[in-house]
Amino acid sequence: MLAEKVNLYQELAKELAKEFAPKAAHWDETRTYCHENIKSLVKARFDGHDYSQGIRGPGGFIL
Amino acid sequence: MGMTIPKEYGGLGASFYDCALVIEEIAKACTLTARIVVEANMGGISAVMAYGTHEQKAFCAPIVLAGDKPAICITEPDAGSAATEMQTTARKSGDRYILNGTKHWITGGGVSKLHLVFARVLDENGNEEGIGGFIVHHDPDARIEPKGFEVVRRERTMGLCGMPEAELKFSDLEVGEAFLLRPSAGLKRSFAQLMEAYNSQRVGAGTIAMGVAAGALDRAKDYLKMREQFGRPLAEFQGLQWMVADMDASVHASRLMLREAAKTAQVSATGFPDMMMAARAKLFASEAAIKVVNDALQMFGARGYGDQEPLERMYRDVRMFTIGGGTAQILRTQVAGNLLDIKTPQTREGYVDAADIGSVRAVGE
Ligand SMILES: Cc1cc2nc3c(=O)[nH]c(=O)nc-3n(C[C@H](O)[C@H](O)[C@H](O)COP(=O)(O)OP(=O)(O)OC[C@H]3O[C@@H](n4cnc5c(N)ncnc54)[C@H](O)[C@@H]3O)c2cc1C
Repeated sequence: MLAEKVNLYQELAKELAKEFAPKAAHWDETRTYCHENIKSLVKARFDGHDYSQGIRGPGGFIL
Repeated sequence: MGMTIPKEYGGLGASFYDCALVIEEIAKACTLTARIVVEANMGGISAVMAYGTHEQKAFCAPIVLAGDKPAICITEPDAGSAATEMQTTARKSGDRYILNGTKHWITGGGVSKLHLVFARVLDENGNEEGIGGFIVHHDPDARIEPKGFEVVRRERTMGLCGMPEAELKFSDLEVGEAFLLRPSAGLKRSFAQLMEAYNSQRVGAGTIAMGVAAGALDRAKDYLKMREQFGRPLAEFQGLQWMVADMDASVHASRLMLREAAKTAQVSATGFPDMMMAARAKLFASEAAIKVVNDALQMFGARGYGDQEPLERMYRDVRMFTIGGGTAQILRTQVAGNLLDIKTPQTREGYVDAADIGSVRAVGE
């Protein structure tokens, strides 16, 4: 059970990371706090609200 | 945000281990966001969830779940590594405490809404009762601006530049006694118990460092296959192959140590990672990450030194992890004390007064 859940969290984090990567330089250069990323984190909530499509765990469980 | 907050308070009740997996992935992409994930799940908020009253938990959880990264306020201008030498006081006055003092290098100062402020707790007569943690809410957007709470200035940092590191000043700041965290051990042992929560933060911080290093290694591997010199891909040069192997070994060892430490929270009496394992893992991972990211930058040559690649930013970002959250030296002292089963007081008086002269010699000589 844990292994499935762990993988799902990680998969979700990988999806979010794709969104965050291109903006990382911007926060650094402008010395600004990433409110935008926080909105995405809140929206995702790591419980599948926004990322339920297409993310599968090893046991076929859909987040 | 708040994935480790228990379900009854609106979180997911996820473990620190689950959270570490998330932090690593986010850190590969954006160190700043990874730090937010750490502080919205570990450290201050985890202390509230472990030791808080129902009202305190119910108050803090929604703020974090809505996107706040709580700030943990321990360090002062004259109390860095020697955290227990802090001078900030909280004096009892009726049903309130009056806070006075200055904290600096407070991550998120000025953007964080929740603050866990550590202060020396004094009774109404000024007698010291121990070091306690106070929950302070500051949210100018919502017009919650407690009198006596001031964000004095922001430091200009070499890395993690999107994250404010601020000096905070408390001048007769009133905090209701309901906002004092009271761990079960009582105020005398409160600091030690609150610091148990910090073991989760250490695993989180170490995981960010490891994640940044893993991200740098991934980029370096791709570049070695793509870039050619002397008519061959860089990947064919043994000098660089051996560097890649060492980098991979460092990242992998860090990952195993951090995950092992995170897992101990699921079986420990405190609900937090084991102190020794967390200290050892953060120490190893933070130092290894600096070297790995530096080596990755080297593999890119001049390109790594410029800003068209993220390596120079990653290098600046990763540098802080041997300083913030317990320096590498202090972590070594903790690990050594644990390994040798001796107290390692760092004050001169500590050596002179220590009961066990044998252990004093072992450390001091
Ligand atoms: C980016 C960043 C974010 C931070 N965020 C926070 C935060 O959110 N909240 C917070 O409370 N604090 C925060 N800090 C402060 C951090 O915890 C302190 O910087 C740290 O504890 C060290 O204190 P100091 O900087 O005063 O160094 P000092 O304690 O003055 O140490 C200076 C040097 O001496 C070494 N040293 C000190 N004592 C010993 C000893 N006994 N044996 C061997 N070596 C020793 C140290 O390792 C260090 O190398 C942050 C710091 C940084 C850089």
